[in-house]
Amino acid sequence: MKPFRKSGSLTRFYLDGTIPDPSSDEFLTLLAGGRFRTIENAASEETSLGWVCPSDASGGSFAPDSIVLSRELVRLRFRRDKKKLPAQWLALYMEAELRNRPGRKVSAKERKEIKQDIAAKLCPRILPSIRLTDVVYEIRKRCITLFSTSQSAKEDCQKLFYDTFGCRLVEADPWETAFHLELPRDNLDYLERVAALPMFPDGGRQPELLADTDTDEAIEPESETAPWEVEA
Amino acid sequence: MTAEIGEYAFLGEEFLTWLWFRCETRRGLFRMPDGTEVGVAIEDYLCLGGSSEHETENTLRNGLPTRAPEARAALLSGKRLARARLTFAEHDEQWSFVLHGATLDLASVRCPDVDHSDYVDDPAGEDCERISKFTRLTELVDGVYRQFLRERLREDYRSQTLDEMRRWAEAKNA
Repeated sequence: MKPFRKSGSLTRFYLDGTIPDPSSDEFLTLLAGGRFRTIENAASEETSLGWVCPSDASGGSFAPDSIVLSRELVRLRFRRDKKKLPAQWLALYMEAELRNRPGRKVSAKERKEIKQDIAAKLCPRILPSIRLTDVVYEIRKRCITLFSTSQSAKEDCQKLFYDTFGCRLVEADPWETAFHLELPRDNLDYLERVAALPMFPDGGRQPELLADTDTDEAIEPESETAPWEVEA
Repeated sequence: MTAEIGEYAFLGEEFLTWLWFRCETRRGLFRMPDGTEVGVAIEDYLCLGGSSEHETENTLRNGLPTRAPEARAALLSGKRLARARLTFAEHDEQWSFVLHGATLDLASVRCPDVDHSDYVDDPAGEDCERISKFTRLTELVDGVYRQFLRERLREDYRSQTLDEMRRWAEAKNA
């Protein structure tokens, strides 16, 4: 197994709910219940989302050693496969099919049926795209780190935690984070009524104040004569 | 205690703008709750945005964007720092990343190296160490964000810090 990455993007969530002790059988059983199921041989366009083990991307097994790294850190990984018919292949097959029906107009309904037939023929031959996403669960902090900032990965992660453990993940945005930083009571009271404070009210400073930026070099007034024109 | 997503994005953007101000006026040094000192620097990527998502963003890359006249003009026109590439340094370790103000997401994070030869027989230990670099970064960002909030969530923020920030923006590169 490759060592954990040393670069990447991340989003954080706070855990709302209870997850069983990661070293317990219950945890592994729940994880296996939400495991990834392959769509390699599926005969239609579809997606599959589920947990895999960091050391085995098939979803077939979950080795506690590669999941529970310490008493504090749990390493998880989920996989999303998507099988999609390539548009160009579909267009080629569609054209060929229509050539076989010369001289008559094909209705929209017929086109749809042809498309379905082509998809049924081609889909079993197409391999799905694979996306593996790492997740770290910090037990003491009750914090989940998702190693992605894409909206779809965030939604996948939230869905998996909800479906697997019945827990909600709350995104650690500026507002939520503020409540997790052990701020004094008066700060928290103020937070409830905080509003944006523009640097400069009324849409910023006036243009005449912006104009006096560089005073070292005086700007020459534009000549009425273009540089390439010789003044008489 | 619930808020619409994005409703409080301004807090993160104000944080980034304050961070920029603190880096230029107080050398960007922050003491963490555990006593360690963290150095913060704004690097070669800035994105300044307006208070609404429909407003034009100014993206400045390469060179010294914090010194660019466009950066000053954007600040003076009321824009906040929406995203920036930052470096955080603690002891002899350094992290580089892009902080998104609206979400506090960390993008393109580069963590300090972990010596693979120290963990030849202990892959789990190496993973732990590598993950700890990421989690330490999130702790440092939280620590600095907390310092911002301690100032921002005070009644006198407007008359003290914000006034100072306005003077700083006006005097930038002048």
